[in-house]
Amino acid sequence: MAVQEQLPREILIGGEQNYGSVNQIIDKVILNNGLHRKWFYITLLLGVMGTGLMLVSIGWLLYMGIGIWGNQIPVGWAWDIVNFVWWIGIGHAGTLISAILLLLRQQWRNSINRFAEAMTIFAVMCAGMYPLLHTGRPWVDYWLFPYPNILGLWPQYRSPLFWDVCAVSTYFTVSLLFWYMGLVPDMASLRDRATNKFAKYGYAIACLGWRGSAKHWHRYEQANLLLAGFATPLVLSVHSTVSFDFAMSVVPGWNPTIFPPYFVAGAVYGGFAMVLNFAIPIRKAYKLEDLITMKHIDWMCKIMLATSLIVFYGYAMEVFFGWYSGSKGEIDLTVYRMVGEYKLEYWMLIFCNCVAPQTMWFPKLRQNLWVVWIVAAIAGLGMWLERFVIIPMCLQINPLPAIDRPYHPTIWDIALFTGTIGFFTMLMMLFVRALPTINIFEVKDLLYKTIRSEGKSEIIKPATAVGVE
Amino acid sequence: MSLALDQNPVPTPARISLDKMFPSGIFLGLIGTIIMIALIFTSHGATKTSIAGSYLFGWIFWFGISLGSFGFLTLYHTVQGKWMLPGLRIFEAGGGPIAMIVMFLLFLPISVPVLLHQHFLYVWVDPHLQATEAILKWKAPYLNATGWFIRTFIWFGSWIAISAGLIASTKRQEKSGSSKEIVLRNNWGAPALIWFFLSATFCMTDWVMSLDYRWFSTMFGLWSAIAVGIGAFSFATMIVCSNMDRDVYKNLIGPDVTRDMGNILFVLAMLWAYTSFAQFLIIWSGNLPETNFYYVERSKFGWNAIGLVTMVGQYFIPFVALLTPRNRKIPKNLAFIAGFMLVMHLVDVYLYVMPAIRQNGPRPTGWDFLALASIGLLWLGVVSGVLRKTALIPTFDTRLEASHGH
Repeated sequence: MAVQEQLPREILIGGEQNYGSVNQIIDKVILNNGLHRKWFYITLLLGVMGTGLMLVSIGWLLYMGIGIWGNQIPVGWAWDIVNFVWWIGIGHAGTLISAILLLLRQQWRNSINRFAEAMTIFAVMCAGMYPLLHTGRPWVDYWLFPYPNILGLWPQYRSPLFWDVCAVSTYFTVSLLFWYMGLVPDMASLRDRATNKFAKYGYAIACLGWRGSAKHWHRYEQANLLLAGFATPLVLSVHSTVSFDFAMSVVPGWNPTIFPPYFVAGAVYGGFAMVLNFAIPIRKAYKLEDLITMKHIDWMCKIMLATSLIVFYGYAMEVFFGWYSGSKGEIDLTVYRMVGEYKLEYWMLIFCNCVAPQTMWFPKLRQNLWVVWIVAAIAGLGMWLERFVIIPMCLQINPLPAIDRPYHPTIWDIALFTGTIGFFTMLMMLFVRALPTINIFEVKDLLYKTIRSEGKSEIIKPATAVGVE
Repeated sequence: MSLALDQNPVPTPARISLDKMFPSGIFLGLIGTIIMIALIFTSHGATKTSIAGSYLFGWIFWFGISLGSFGFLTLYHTVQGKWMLPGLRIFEAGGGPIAMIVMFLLFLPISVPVLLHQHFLYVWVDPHLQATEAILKWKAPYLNATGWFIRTFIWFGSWIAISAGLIASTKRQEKSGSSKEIVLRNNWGAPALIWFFLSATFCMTDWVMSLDYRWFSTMFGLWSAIAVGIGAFSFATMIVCSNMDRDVYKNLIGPDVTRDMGNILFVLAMLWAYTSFAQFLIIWSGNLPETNFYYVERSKFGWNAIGLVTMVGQYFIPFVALLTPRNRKIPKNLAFIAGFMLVMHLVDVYLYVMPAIRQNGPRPTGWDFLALASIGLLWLGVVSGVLRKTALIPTFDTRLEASHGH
């Protein structure tokens, strides 16, 4: 008889945990005021200042018009659309983790899904702002929606810009519902455990009368599965639609047929990088190492590596078929990207998205949180550069020789982008402060399955076994 | 965790229906293939092109199943999904070194004439055309007969070497039981998977896209990789599910595994639709003369009807059928759906190969059927011969046995 060795089981919950200790680890971040140190308030303050900068930028923009931006002719789409696509992409990791990994029954998502879903909501809020402001007259943005009106004015249904309005608004609605619905059982748990009267009432209202009955759970599971089913095609279609904003045109560099899957992969790559950038410091600060284990970090790194390779494949196809096409416009653009006035941005993009993530092949580097954090930050920069290389750079190289002004952003482009980063950071910090960053009941479900599979049922104790501080 | 298993899994004869293809499939297939090759080299003009086109179509279809099997083999060793275990031996046989060597030899009647600048199929090898067409002069550093032939060697050489290495490692593990082999294959699986996508992209660019040297699409490589994946996975699912009542599968594969196999087919159908539609939409909306003729050709003389059949058969019907949990649970239903998808994949291959050869519409000839049947019988005979020598359920990965209490 030969003995077939098998690899050891993956450990997704560290330490000796029971239901009570899981509650304690997650709830303490919200219910224990003393846990928030100086760094939390500094980050929150920076976020608030960024939000202020964003509001000032928007105010000045509304007063002066979009002429304060660097947009010009032929570069009519510039930082605003770059930032729109970047932020939309950031949100995709949330939906991927919460919906696609749910359908694939990947239990490791349980510790990071809540966090990533929150990121999706906040990132889509930042993203949606840009096209709305770019219209130039945001006070009539409701014209973007098809509604009966006395002007007889309808959107152009054949335009991908209109598809975008539908895709992004549907995506935001479904993501918000998905996120909120998942929060309901956890907010009920917080309602029961909070000692502060205002917090107790607040969570009581927000949890919509959740009592945890079998009927509640049954309905929750059904609704959760249905929303996951909706969200999965949505996450693919949203970024594909965003890619159609470019691909449906005939601008060289904007209409490669690979654009839809390559946009989706790029979005997931940038999104996972952002999850890592936020999860690593928060995990350390609030001692969440037992729930967001190194295995979670390892798998996120692998997804980042896999998606970076897809993006790399997309760049390679663009270059190869740009040359193979024999089309003058495509060839000129390929050469311009490599040696033109924005060559630094192009080669930085290649470094950030193709070279740096290759470090993630090595298990030792995936276990080094500093390396992971830096590579993730580089990935975020790389994805921003990718959108820059696609949008202004393709518009800059124009068939009309008279048009030779290079595009440069203005201080207001930079201020608004910095402002949205601040706004996003502020929302993330408030989220960490007020809501459970890790899905409590799903982690308990995972704990139950883990313990059962190991045959140690005596560890499963009711939540009341461990008190609240 | 460790499980004790039978060290010497000697297969019993005729365990599944596919076993019957050996050796009769090889003999019959060889006769048909020799007739086809003789016809290619004895005919002239348009007839020669038409017969060679039939041969290429039949070859691409069966080669696609081999290439897709190779892709799933590398995917298994990268992610180690339990859902691939029932079909793993079929992937090893279909995408393994012996099947690849046979497909390479069967491709020689197409590839050697290219090297000799005989332009009955690939018109771009015509030296006169190469000297006069500006676009061909531009593409010459890549699209030249010698380079094309050398690349063919490289693709086949790499697939044979990689699959042989992975299969040898599983055999070593079956003997020694060492988990070090799992780690080794896992380390090589991911680079091999990357190579699968790159090689699939460029081999399909060479062998299919270059049938019309003017056309290009950045999606084509990914689209081809998904298409061959459909071919391989639907073939493996059909074989496994239609033999589910046999002893070899009966007590090992439950509804949990068939559901996963159905889900993969569902995902593949969605991916095929996604990539096909995106490519069509972008080319249609751009309406650029460099690329639009590909779909213009496929919208005339009845080719549009074939396109409609693939749309309905390759996407809508599998989508609805596989959305139903019952169909994924009942092996006979799943086998039928997988078989249907395989037939639709065949129609799809016909649509992307033949319009470049027969511009006057989809008029299947007897040569099409002969080529498809003879190369197919040969391929099935070879795969069956390889499968007969091995246990159909891998013994190095014990998860199926473990989950069903063996």
